[in-house]
Amino acid sequence: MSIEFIGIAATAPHSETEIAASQSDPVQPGYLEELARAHEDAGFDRVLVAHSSASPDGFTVADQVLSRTQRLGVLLAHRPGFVAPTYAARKFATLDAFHPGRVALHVITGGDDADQARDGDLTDKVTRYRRTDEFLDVLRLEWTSATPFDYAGEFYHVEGGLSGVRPPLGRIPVYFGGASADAIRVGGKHADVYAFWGEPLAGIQERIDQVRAAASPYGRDPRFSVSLRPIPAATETRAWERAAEILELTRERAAGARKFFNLDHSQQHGSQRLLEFAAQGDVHDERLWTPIAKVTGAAGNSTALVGSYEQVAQALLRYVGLGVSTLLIRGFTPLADARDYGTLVRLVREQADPAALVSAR
Amino acid sequence: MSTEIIGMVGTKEVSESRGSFDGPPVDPGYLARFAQAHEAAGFDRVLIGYHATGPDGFAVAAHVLNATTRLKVLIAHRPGFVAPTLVARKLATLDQLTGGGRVAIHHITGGDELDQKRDGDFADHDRRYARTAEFMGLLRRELTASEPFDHDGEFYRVRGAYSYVRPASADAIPLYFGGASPAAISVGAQHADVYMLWGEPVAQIAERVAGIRAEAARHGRTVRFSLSVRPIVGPTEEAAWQRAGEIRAATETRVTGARSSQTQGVQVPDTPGPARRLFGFRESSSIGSERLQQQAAEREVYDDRLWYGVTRLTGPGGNSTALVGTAAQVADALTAYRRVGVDTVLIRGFDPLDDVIDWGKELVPLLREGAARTPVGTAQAATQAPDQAPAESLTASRPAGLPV
Repeated sequence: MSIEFIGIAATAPHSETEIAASQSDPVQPGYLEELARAHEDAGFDRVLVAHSSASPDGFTVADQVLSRTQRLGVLLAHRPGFVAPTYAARKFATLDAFHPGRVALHVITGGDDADQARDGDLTDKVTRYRRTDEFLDVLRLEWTSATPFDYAGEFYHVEGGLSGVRPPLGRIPVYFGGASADAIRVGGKHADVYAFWGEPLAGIQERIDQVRAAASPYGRDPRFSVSLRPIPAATETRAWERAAEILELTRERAAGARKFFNLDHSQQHGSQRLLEFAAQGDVHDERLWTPIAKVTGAAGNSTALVGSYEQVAQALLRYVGLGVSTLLIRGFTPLADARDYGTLVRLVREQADPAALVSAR
Repeated sequence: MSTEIIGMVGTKEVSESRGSFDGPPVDPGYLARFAQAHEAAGFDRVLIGYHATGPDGFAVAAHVLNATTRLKVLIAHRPGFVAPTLVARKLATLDQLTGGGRVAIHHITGGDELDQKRDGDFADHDRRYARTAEFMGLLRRELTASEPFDHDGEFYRVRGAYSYVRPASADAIPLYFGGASPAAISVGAQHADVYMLWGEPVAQIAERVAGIRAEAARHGRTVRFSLSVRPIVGPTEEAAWQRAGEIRAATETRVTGARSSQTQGVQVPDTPGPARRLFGFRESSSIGSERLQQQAAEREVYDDRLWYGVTRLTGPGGNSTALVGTAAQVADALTAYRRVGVDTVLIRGFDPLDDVIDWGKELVPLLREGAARTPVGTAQAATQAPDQAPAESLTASRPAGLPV
C-alpha cells in the first residue's frame, strides 16, 4: 500500500502564526472548504479534524469536508466520555454511510484536566484510559453485532444494544494517540494505527517497539503514524530563514494562542517527551527542529522538519524506514502549506521503498 | 403571529404501512430527494427522529441542509447521551456552517425503557425529566455565555465551560420539547420555546395548552405550541377514508408479522425476511402514548376526522393519529387547533415522499391561508374552546371560493 498522508481541517486560520485572524470569526465555511479542497488537490488521503472543549464540533466539520470534496477522507478526533459509546458508534457509522469508506476515528483520551472539566468530565487520567478501553469495547460491539448485545462495565452498562446502521466491513479504522503507559496498554489492544507526535527517529523507534509489545498479546499488528510540521523551501538556506520567521511570529503570538485555545499540555507524556528532546537540542537528525515546541509548551504536534523539498522528503522517508506508514503533516500557514505540500507528497511517494512499506505492515 | 409547517424526513422510504426495513438503512439520494420535496412543497422545517438503533440525526441534518437552500431542521435528541456543552457546540457549529438560522433541537426524554437501555440509560421516567431540565438550562448557557462558567447540578458538573463557536444569531437555535406527564409539563414550561403535542382531539389539546401556559406563566414565560398529526388526504372525503382503510390493512399485516420478532423496534439491515419492526414501544413509560391509547380505546374517530385506526394497531408509540379528509377538510381541522393556541403543525404521511409532494399542491397553501386569517388562540379562547363545535365554526369562517 501507498504511504498515507493526512493534513488538517480547520474552520478558520488559527495556527500559531495566524491566531489573531480567527478570534472574531471562528467558523468560516469558505475557509474550511478551500482548505479541504487544497488538501485533496495536493494528493492528501485524509485531513485531521481536531477536538477541544471550546471548539466547533468535529462531526459537523467532518461532514462539511466530506460533502465539499470528492475522495478526501477525514480522521475525526473523538474523546471518549462525552457521548454514549453506542451513540458515538452510530454517529461514526452514519457519517460513513453518507461518505462510504472516507471516515476514520482518532481516539484521544484527553491530557488536560481543565479542558475535560469544561465539558463536565472530572475524572483523572488513569480513570479516563480505563474508560477509553471500555468505550472502544462497546463501540466495536455496536458496529459489529447483528443481534442485541449486553455490556456491563465500570463505566458503561448497555442492555439490548443494536444498531441498524453499521460500517459495511464492521469497522471504521481506529487511530489512537497517547504516550503514557496506560495509553500504550489501551492503544495496543484497540489501535489500527498508533499515532505519535514528531520525535527524533530514536524516540519513534522506541515507541514503535513499546506499542508492538503491547499489541502482540491481542494478536494485533498496528500501523504507525507520525505528526510533523514541515517547513520546506526551494533551498535549505531559505527554509531555515522561514523557520526563523515562523519562530519570531510564534513568540509574538504564543500568549494569544494560549489564551484562545486555553489548553495546558504540561501533564501530557507526549508533550513532556517533546520538551525533553527540545531541551537536548534545537535540531535532531539534521532537520527535526524543536524550538516551536519549546515556545508553545509542546501543545500538540509542534516539531518541524526544515530543509529543501528533497531534504524534507528524505527526512520523512527515514520515518517510513522505521515502519511508519502514515504521515500527518500540517504547516504554519495551513492553507498555503497544504497546496505547497503537494510536492512533498509526490516526492515521498515516488521515493518510498515498497519493501520498507511491506515490512511496515 | 407566526405559523410554522414542519415535515419529517427519514433515511429510507418506510412508514407503518409502506416500505421495507431490509437493505441499507441510509439512502443518501432518497434523503436528499425527500428533503428537497419538503422545500418545494413549502414546508418550513423537517423533523429528524431519534432511536437508539437508528442513524445519527446530526449527520442526517447536515445532509438535509446541504441538499436544500432554505429548509430548516429540527433535530430530535434525548438528553443523557451527549454532554450538554458538546451538544451546544454541535448545534452552533452546524448553524454556522449552513448559513445560520436553520437549526433547531427537539428534546425527547424517552418513552421506551428498552430503547433507553440500548444506549446505556437506566434512569426512570421522572428522573430523566429532571435531567432534561438541567440539560436544557446548560445547553442555553453554553450557547450564550460570553465568559467561562461553572455549573454544579444533580446530573452535570462543569468547570470553566465556554464555547468559542456561537449560533449565527442570538436566538438562532430554538429549543423544542415534548412530553405529557406532570413532570414533563413542569420542565417544558420552564425551558421550551416550542412545546410539541401529539394529535389529540381539539378539546384535549385546548386543555393541555391551557395547563402548560398556566405553568409557564408561573415562571414568567410564554411558549409556542406545535401539533403533530398524520394527514390522510384524498380528492374526496370518501376517497380519503378509503385510503385510511388501506393504510390500516397494510399496517395490520406488518404489525402482525413483526410481533414475534426478537428485534422489533429495530431496523436490521441486510436481513432477509419480513420487515422487523413494530412501531410501538416495547416497554412504554410514555404518558403521551398512554393518552392516545386511552382515547383510541374509547372511540376510533374524534372531531369528525381525527382517526385512531393506526394508533390502535401499533400500541403505545409516537405520532400516530391521522386527520382524514380532503385537503380543505384537513386544513380546516388543523386550523381549529390554531384557535386553541397551536401555531405550528408537524405533518407526516404514511406514504412519506408521495404525500409531501401531494401536500405541496393544496394542503400546505391552505394551511398558510388558514393561518393568515386565523389568530392564534389566547389562553381564554383555549379554555372556552372545548364546548365549541369546530367543524361548524370553521365552515362559517371559510372564505367563498375555497375548495371544500
